[in-house]
Amino acid sequence: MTRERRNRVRSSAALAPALLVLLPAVSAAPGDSPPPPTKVAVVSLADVRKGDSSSRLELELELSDFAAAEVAAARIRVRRAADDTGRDLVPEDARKAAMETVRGESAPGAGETPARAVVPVRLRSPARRAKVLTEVSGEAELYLPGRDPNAVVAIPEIRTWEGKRLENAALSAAGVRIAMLTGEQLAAEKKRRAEARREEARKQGLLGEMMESLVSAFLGAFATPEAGDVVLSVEDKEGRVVGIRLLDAAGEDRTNGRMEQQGLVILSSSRTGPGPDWSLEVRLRTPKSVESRSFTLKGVPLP
Amino acid sequence: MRKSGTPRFLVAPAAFLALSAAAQAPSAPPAVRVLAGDVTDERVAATARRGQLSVQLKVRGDGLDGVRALRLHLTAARDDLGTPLLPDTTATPKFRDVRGERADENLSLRNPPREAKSFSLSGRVELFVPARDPGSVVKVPKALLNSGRALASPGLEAAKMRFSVLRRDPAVNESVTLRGRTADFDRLHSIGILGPDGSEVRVVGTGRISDGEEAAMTLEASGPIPKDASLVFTILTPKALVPVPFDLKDVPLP
Repeated sequence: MTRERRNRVRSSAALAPALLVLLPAVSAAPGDSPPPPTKVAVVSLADVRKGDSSSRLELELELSDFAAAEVAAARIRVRRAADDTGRDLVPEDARKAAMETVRGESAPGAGETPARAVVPVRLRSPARRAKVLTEVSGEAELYLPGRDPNAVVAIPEIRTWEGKRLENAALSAAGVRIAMLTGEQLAAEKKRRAEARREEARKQGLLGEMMESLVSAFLGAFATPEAGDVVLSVEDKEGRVVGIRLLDAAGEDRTNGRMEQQGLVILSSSRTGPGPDWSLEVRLRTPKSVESRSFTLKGVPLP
Repeated sequence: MRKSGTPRFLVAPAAFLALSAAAQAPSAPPAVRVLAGDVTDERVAATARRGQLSVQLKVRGDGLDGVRALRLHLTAARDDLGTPLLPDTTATPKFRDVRGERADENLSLRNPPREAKSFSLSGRVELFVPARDPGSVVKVPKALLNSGRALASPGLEAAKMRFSVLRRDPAVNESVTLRGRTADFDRLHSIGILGPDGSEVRVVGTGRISDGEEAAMTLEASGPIPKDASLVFTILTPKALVPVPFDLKDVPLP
């Protein structure tokens, strides 16, 4: 697998920014009371019409109750969306929406009003003859790590953990197990998984060249770290990990490449790897760090 | 001489292919036509970004392998309600190099109203086919040996063009600068460099400055330029230009 560095993504799974979240979408059970409402305003709207399935309506909503600096990620679940012709604009995958990093803002200066959080919403394409969005409503699930000290776990001097499992009470409490693999451990893991794939193929009745070509395709796509990369094995059955990054001694994010594959997370920084005083930061979803709000927009003119 | 706007940096690797093509007999005009490709109507609001109707024009047909460049002249664009879609300001169209058998051109128009269902476009695509005019490719052997004087070349004379090579700084042997009339530079598709053995010295970029009447163009090469290198001028002569009118009616809007 080819690798890119410096602000580039390295796999389709890594297209979201560094704080991509792979949390299972949870839909409200029937009878659940909706979360409290928040005021929203449309700050941008783009109706991208292409005549195929890539057509879409993109909105950016400003949440007036939340400062941009406190919202690290958000997941928007659209429950209702329609134009004035009656076309349903709720995307098919609305229930599986992933939590995505929210555009960051620096802290305001003295006397300045903090910028409000802005979250992206993607809908299906409205009818050409439509003039108005009659309704867009749903819920915004916001990740606010500053509200819970247990939501951000820092593992100092990450280099010293190579070849070991990270020992941390907050990670254990969240049911998250992370190990930092050496090259040998990764090679062994690759071999183990290839054998598992071979066994699976055998059970499906594949033999000889067919089986080996399947295994070979698997090995070809298997993550291959470059010099200096940090390879983590992450077990997170409850989907609590929101993001993982490398921080230098000054607390600056030094992660410039990230790849996720079947429980492995590979973080790139520099060819020499993390400095001796760098730490690993793991952001966790905790009850106190997540807040949900409902929103409703009506009568939005279409451009 | 002062700079007139941003210098243009172009890559012009087609000159050498054109040279070999021009040695052959003038070819028949390419049998091509213009088709509408992908259409994207990007409509935006509540932001500084502007929307646009993007239209891909596909130039298809036989003989495109002889086409080195094309440019698009758009004369009319309206939707089915009669709304004009041409942009308020249009830059003078420029030739764009063509590679291979397919040539696509993308153009940006104004957004039609939501009520519109289709649009129509007309204009012409101009193809540059050096093989149709042997005079469109002029090789000036050992051009750099006569720096400071006008290049003596029957081919340039026939094209009514005059260029001179400026004296070269011995410390900078990976570039060469030519001086001439701005109008003459405008009639060029590209200038190439050949070593004494006929091998290409690849031009990786060009920069041009002009004070109106006169201009100077610097060619940046990928390596040292031999003192006895030749220059190859590929000229947009009228005989080498093939106009292909198009009239696309009732293209559906997405």
